[in-house]
Amino acid sequence: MKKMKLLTASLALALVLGACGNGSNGNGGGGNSSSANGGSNTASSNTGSNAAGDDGSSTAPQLSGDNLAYEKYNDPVTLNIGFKIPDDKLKDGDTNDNNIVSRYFESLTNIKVVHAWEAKGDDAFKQKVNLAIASDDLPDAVVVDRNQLRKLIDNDMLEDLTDSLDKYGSKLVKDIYASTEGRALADATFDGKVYGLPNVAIDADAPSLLWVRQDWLDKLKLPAPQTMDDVEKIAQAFVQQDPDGNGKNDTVGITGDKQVVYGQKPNPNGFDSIFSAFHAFPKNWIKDADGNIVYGSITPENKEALAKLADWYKRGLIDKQFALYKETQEPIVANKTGIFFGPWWMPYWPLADSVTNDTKAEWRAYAAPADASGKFVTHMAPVTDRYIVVRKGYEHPEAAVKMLNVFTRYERRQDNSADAKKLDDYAAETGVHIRNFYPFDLLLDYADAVVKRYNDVQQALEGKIDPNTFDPDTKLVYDFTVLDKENPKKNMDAWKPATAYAYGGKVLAETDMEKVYSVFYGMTRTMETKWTTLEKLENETFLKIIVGDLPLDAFDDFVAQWKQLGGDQITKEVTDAVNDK
Amino acid sequence: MRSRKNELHYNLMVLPGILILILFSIVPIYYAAMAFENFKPARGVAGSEWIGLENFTYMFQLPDSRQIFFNTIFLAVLKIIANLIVPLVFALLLNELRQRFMRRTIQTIVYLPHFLSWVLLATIFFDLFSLDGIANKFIGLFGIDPVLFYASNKWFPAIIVATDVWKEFGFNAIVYLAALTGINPVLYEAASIDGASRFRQLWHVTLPGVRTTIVLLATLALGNVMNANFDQIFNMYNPLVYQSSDIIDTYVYRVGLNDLQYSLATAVGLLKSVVSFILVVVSYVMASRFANYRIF
Repeated sequence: MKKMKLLTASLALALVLGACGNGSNGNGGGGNSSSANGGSNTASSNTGSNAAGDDGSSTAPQLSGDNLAYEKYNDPVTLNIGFKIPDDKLKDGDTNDNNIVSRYFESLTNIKVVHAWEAKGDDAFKQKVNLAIASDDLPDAVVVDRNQLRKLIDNDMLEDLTDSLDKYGSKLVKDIYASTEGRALADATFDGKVYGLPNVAIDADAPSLLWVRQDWLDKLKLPAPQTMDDVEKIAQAFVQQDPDGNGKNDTVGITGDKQVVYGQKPNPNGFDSIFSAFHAFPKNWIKDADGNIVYGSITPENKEALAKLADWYKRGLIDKQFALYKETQEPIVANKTGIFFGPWWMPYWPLADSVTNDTKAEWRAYAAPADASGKFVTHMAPVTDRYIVVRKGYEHPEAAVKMLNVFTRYERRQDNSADAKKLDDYAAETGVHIRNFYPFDLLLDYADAVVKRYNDVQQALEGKIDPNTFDPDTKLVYDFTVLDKENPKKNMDAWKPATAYAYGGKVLAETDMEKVYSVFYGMTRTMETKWTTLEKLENETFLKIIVGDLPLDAFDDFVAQWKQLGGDQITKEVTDAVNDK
Repeated sequence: MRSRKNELHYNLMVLPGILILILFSIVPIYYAAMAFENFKPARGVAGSEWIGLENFTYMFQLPDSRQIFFNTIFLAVLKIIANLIVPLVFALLLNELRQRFMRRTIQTIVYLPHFLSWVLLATIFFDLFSLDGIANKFIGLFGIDPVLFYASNKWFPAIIVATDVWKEFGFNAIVYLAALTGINPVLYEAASIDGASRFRQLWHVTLPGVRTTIVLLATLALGNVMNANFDQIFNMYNPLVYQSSDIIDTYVYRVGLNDLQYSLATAVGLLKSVVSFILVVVSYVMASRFANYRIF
């Protein structure tokens, strides 16, 4: 009897502890992706616009358009949202749902934003939204991705925003939507009704550039990379010749991510550019030579790219442990690598951390490797990939539009009030990213913003333009660039935009790239049930071929299997969907 | 009447457990109906289209299904066996220690890992088994090339089982130690008077004394054959070792919460529950037969 009691007690204890374990586990998963998220957040925080001079160029639907758009509610309106918790640490007892940013927007609109729930990191946030959809318990407004939007529309869970946007949308917001030639809103429109307020991404975010430690290159007397062979040589030298000079054989080659490629908007460590140098465009729907629509991951060109990557991995030119890191940026931040792929905004994150850890680090971006004919090839990204949606039945759908108006106005630096200045000062003083505390993690910008801003800043530096004529966004980049020139790496907040534009922006502005657009980004019927399996098959096959777990010829089996498991059917549906447009 | 009064606090102690059980195990049974539907969140369980066994048919067509069921059972069985034997051996060894202080100290130290979370341990083990980690430094002493343990489908299951045993053996040994203290010391006295060596005493007194406990734990563990520990695997695995360590729970999690295939995920989970239920019944019958353990 005594034995039994002890046993029961310990089993009960184990049960309780087990439950606790589960809880902390979920948090951990969220934490993993949080910094990746923080990165892309910071990334675009300065991708502003040149909208200041555009006033009056388009017709406002109503005379009182902007007055109505920015009008303050007389009685407070409550807006429940799902909130993505940022990494930033707030000061003075401010909390995620009551801070200098939220108070400012509330004072402008009289909208009381309530956090129905919060989640840390992209993955956790996505899962929270999925749960909210599954349990039919959406907050009043929340940011969703393309698949979630589709699911919500299918289930008739969303409020029609057509009229709200038309009536209450600010001129700035409408202008930016118009600058995409209707593509942005079309993404969120079904049966002629707008169901979501889309973001507008900048073109610059799509290409994956090669970031290299210039100080290591110089030390080993290596030329700047252009071709595939150059990249190979640099990686080899970085692995074998102790570029960091600490006498230990502890540097790795090119770092990677377990996703292998991102396909649309890259984050650090995607091998997208290797594939596109072979004219392979995995995860994109492209047209082949005969004009047929094909899935980019099954074309024979992929095999060449995989052969190259597998060879590099075998020779240790690719970090042997790349698939194992919980957070892909680990070797970059730890300065174990001096060569990796990433979009133009890498200096914001993770490179700022790399430089903080080793101030000698000089990172430069290159449009490499080029294809056989010497041209840099890249896939592009969709104009929109996230949407503010409003729960069906919410009494004030226009509140979401009004929120979008005010934070877009601040983000695009067209808010010249003293309170907005206070936010700027607060950001400069504390390093907090204001945009992370917008109620919705969604930015609107003009498609060519980065390149335009880089060109303007360069001309101003050469004295050809007076920087005082700049719109506030460009002016900020200019000021930071000057500041960082005077005192390099002294102020990291100046270093981030200065470096991102000076090197990332430069490459984008000066390289004549061959840009390949995917013809289709949505989901089809068969995709809904089969795509996960196909994607898993694809990801695992690519990854295993690279690390040598599968021979290169496994690619052919993969293609056959992909087609048979529903790929052919999906290709047909995608072709139909594209032809219907 | 007297006995009821005495039982009240027992019932109170059980109450939170019962509530949790109802909330997390009984109520969700209703939602298991999703497995037979094309579940649409907005329409709810009652309103979604009934498609019968389609999800199950599809599940068995998936190349992954066989693999994840195999992985789950394989890993769980290895863990059950190791988690029975290692704590037993450890408890027997510890029981032979004469110094009370030493015994207590060792016991406390070895059961500490039980209270650490897998989130933390996964990071620590990742470092230990990384390319320049201790494990590779050690085999390097013998001139063996470094092994990427975490990426190897040969090594990873072994690591999963070994780390699980390391974490839990101290805690699991408690039950055995309790059983060992329950053995009447008179038996040892009698055995030693009969001239039995310590090893003989172990064989003829100690082991028979804890036999029922061993049988009981073994049969009860049978109910866990479909549980390979989500916490641990979710925190430690990566796409390279899905082949050898993706289990039902991690698969359901990814399919259900990442890919929004609620019905498919529910179908997989439900199948697991049905198999588990059968095993629990079997283990209960066996426990009552071999160890005289009865609930009812």
